[in-house]
Amino acid sequence: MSTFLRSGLALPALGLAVVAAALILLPIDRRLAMEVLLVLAMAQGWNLLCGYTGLLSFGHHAFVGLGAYVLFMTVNTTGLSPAWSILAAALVALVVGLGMWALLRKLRGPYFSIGIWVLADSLRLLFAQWEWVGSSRGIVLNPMSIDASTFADTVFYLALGLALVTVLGVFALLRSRTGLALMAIRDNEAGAASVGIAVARNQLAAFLISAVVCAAAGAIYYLSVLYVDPSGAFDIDWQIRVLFIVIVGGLGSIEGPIIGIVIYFGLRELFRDAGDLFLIFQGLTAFLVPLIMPGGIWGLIQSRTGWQLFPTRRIAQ
Amino acid sequence: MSYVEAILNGLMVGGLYGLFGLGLALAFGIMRIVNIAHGEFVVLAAYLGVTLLAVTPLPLPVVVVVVAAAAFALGWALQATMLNRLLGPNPVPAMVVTMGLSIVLRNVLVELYGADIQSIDIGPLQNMGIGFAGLSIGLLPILIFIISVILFIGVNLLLTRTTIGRAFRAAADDHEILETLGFNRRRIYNAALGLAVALSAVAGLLLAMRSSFTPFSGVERLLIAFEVVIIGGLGSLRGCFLGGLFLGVVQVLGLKLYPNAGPLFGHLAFFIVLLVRQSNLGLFLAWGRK
Repeated sequence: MSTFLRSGLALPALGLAVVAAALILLPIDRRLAMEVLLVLAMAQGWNLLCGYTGLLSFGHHAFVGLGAYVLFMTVNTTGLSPAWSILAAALVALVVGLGMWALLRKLRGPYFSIGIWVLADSLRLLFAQWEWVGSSRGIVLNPMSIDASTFADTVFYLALGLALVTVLGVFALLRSRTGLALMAIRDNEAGAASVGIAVARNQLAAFLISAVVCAAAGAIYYLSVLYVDPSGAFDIDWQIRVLFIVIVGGLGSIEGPIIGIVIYFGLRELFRDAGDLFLIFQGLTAFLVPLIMPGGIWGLIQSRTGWQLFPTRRIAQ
Repeated sequence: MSYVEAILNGLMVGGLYGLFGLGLALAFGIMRIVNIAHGEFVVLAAYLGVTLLAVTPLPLPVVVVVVAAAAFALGWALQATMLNRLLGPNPVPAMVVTMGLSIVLRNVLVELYGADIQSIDIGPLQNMGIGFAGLSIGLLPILIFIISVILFIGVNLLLTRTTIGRAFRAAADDHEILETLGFNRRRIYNAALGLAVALSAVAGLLLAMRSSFTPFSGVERLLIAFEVVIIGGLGSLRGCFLGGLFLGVVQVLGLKLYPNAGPLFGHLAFFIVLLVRQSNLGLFLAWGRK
């Protein structure tokens, strides 16, 4: 037990358990909680790619939409239960992610960012043309596949499960050998390569993990609304949201996206009646943070205090 | 519309696409900054043009010049106040900043003008055309094409014959040498982004005379610009121009075959080119090497 305490794992484990218990037990708005948890999972996945391997993606809404469509088509054509169909969504995202990597693997920096954006836009246009998936009208989930009395709880627990698995999974990954490699790439890509880290292989791993997480989150979100259409599911707004959350919270840490998510949803509820004003404010914040606070809020806190809630740094004894 | 007409129309609109790409390529080549708000600047120019034509008695050519000057000032100001603080090997901060700017611009345009489709009415010129060997081509597309060719030639002369143009190229190659020669690197960058935005603004205004636009058209314009740069090659004006023509033809032909597919065919052509070029992309992207 004492080694567990000294390892620094007690605090995050306790924190996550308390948050999960509060979400389950308190009489909160479970719809909103579900959305918060799903966007948190997406932000953690995206951050693993962009915060650690330096590949800034502007096209992860491709996976959100893809996951949603795969879930709908799996449920509607095979009759598999929605919960199991999430695995199909994850699997397809893995395969499509590999295909995308084959196209994008030589693109670096801005080329990668916009290249994947073009891919996401192509998917949106493709799905809007594709008759089998309902073209631009979208598709409705087969109502026979769900149990209306437990449905709201089911999607909430699916979202909670995904968020916990993602946060803990990213945490465990970052404490592993691979995590050390990822953090070395984050700090200095050329330096990491020079000490024998397979940069491209680690980048691919992070890319596939982020793709799978975003697809699963998209699948659960659109499962909860029972309807998916190309302009909503492949909306760049998914990507903008995740970008805002990670940049404001702090790129390249587990704590950053958690702080970012609190700020994002707090502001969104505050600006609920202001319409486009929130979007303008969101853009303005993304615009100003890199100029005045390059590490985001968590970066600022960490540079002042040296705290780490999710200890991933190796400190010499 | 026959296929020959479609190809000709594609070539004409492709000149404008080339200019979009040129703006993006100049900014990236010279200061290694990718301006994600590029597309929004293009759309902003169109809205500025609509407003100037509606509320002032200025004739169209004057409006084009005013929009170009305003865009130059905007690009200069953006570089001077924001982007010069984010120079360096890491491209991420500048991309995030311009991404944020693009969101602001897009939604401010929605607030000001609404999300409806807009177009620029330029009077009788819109419908004039010339017949040639059984084909009929609009006079306006031809005029626009000529303007884009003139702009390409102008930029070429600027880059090869003038001091500031040589300074741009030197900045692209090695900014430290540039400073030892007594140039102020930041001022050169300001002028470069001003020029990049002005070129794209003129192209955006001209495109708005041919086709409609909304506050959300910026993303499409940015992706077009990016595809032109990748297809044509970053380091060459000729590449940008030819890349633009290629993309224009692909898009117009694609739209003729599948009217609802939007820019999908442009994207597909882009990925095919990308696959073909995979093997020696590094060489192909290197600035200044032909």
